Amino acid sequence: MIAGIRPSPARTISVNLLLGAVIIVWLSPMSWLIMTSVDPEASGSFSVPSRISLEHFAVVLSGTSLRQFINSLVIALATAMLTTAVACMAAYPFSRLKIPYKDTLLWSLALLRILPSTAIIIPVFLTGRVLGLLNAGGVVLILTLMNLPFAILLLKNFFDTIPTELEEAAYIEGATLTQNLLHVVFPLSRAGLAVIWFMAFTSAWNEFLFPFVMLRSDQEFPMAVGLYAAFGQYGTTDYGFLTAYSIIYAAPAVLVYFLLKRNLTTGFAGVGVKG
Amino acid sequence: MALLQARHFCKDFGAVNVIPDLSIDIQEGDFTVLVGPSGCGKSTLLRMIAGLEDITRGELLIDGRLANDLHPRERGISMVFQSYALYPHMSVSENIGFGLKLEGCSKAEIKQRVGDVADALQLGELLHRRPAQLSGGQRQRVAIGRAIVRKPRIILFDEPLSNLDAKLRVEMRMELMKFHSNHGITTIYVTHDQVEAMTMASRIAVMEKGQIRQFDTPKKLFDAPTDPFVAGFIGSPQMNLFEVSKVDGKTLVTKEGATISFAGLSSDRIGHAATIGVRPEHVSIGGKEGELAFMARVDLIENLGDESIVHLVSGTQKITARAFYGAECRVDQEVRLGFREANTHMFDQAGQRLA
Repeated sequence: MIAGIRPSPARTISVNLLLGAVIIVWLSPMSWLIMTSVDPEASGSFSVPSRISLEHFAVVLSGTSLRQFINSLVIALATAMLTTAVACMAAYPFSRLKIPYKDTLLWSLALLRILPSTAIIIPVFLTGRVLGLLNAGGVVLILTLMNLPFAILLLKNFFDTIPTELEEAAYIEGATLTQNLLHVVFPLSRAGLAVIWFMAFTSAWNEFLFPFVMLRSDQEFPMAVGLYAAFGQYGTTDYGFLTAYSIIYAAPAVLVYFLLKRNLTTGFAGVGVKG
Repeated sequence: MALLQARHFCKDFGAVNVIPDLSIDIQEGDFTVLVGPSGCGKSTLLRMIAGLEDITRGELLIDGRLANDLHPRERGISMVFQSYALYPHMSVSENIGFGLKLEGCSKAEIKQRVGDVADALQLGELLHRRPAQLSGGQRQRVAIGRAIVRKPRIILFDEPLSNLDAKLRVEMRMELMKFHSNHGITTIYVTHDQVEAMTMASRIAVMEKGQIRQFDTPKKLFDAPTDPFVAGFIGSPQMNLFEVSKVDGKTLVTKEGATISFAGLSSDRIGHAATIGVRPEHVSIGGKEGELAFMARVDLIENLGDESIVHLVSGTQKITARAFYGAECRVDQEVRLGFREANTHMFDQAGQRLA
């Protein structure tokens, strides 16, 4: 019956109310965060600021917190680059060569990654101390190691979707292995590499535990640890500073997501080479 | 001297031997087709010539120079793959010019040579397109363009028509033949399609189990196959092959139970053959005096308009006859079949053709 297809006004209203409630629940923390960050007299309560100012952002982008922002960027970028580079070099032979027990080996590595970080923190700390790696370099190394198993597995599956005939064609035309990788394999894997890079970047950007255990001072901390350390600093809680800090902390990961969005969509599906 | 010589080629994949001992000479300017059933080693042979597979044992000579360890580029060889293997992230002009770029040619030279090839293959309008935006025929032309732009001595084709539909396949076959007659580049072409082989080749190598059974012109392969495998492989419908189990006076019995009389023949040469072959178009329903003759039951008639393919059975021996302008018989009818001795192909116990 046609009458049954058109929703009744009561139903429309109730659906809208429900959606409105969901929006409020979702947006409340976000709106509190934004309102507090621009309120020069932020007290932590949920209130519309009487005056808007960016002074909290200016404070965050100076001194120790700026240093921590740079630390986060350095650690995340270095981890993303190192993970992508090493994963490429490991995944390509895994994809192209006949290695005995290849799949078992790959899945065993992935299994290691499933272990909770907390379970390995003590050996990691002790090893770092012995090797003199209780610094940003050590954090980059351990985060790269933690990211590599899934990165290799994902990239290996991605390389598998690139027909070997393309490489053979390039080889016949005179390409060396390096030229083949640079001109054929990597350009075709751009989406897969973007996924790996993004995964490594965000996980390093978000990482709290390893930098917290392995780094010693405010000046070395990335933002994830810096935010924690900033709570109750000097005896009071500066909500304006903390909310501005949180927004700046969240921004790069979101920005990277939007920059890579197109590649991320195809990245999980394989290269999809046709003819 | 032959342009390309393969001497005692042997190829092992681990413990599996794919090519035991194979030799072939390819003359300059020839269109050589390697044909054979799936798994006969023809693509492996092509890949060994290309340098994509190592040669386990044996020698590859190109222009008399040992080429076993040469990079494909140094062999003066190009290849067109079954899937064409065009780089999907590059435009047509980048695809064609990729090899030149690797060689370190200047941009101006690459542009000039890509333009020349594009003109020759009518690709001028498509140079900025990506492979995904091309039709099957256009992709093939790009693949050929990429192969000839470096001016190779030899072009290898690995079943390039097998992905195309029947109509396009015929068109592309003709294009390839024209291309070869215009450019005269030595070509080695792999296919499992004997029609392609017969129509395009100047010489055909029929392969089975990693060996070349016969290497000859299409006409000679058809008229005088040297062994029963070649006899059965070339020709469609395939040749009737009778394996003789017993000869009794002027009658012979096949392993499949057909009894063939050669009483009408003056010679008894036929009594010495281990296998007798006769093409379907030479089997006549009704038969005549002075022919080999036997009885068979009509099993099935395929009417193709201008001709009929008649499938018959004698004992368990299956026979195919080809009748032009309709067959004068019906299914389940017992008919007399005949064929002339001059149209038979006879092979001895060792599978060698009898003169």
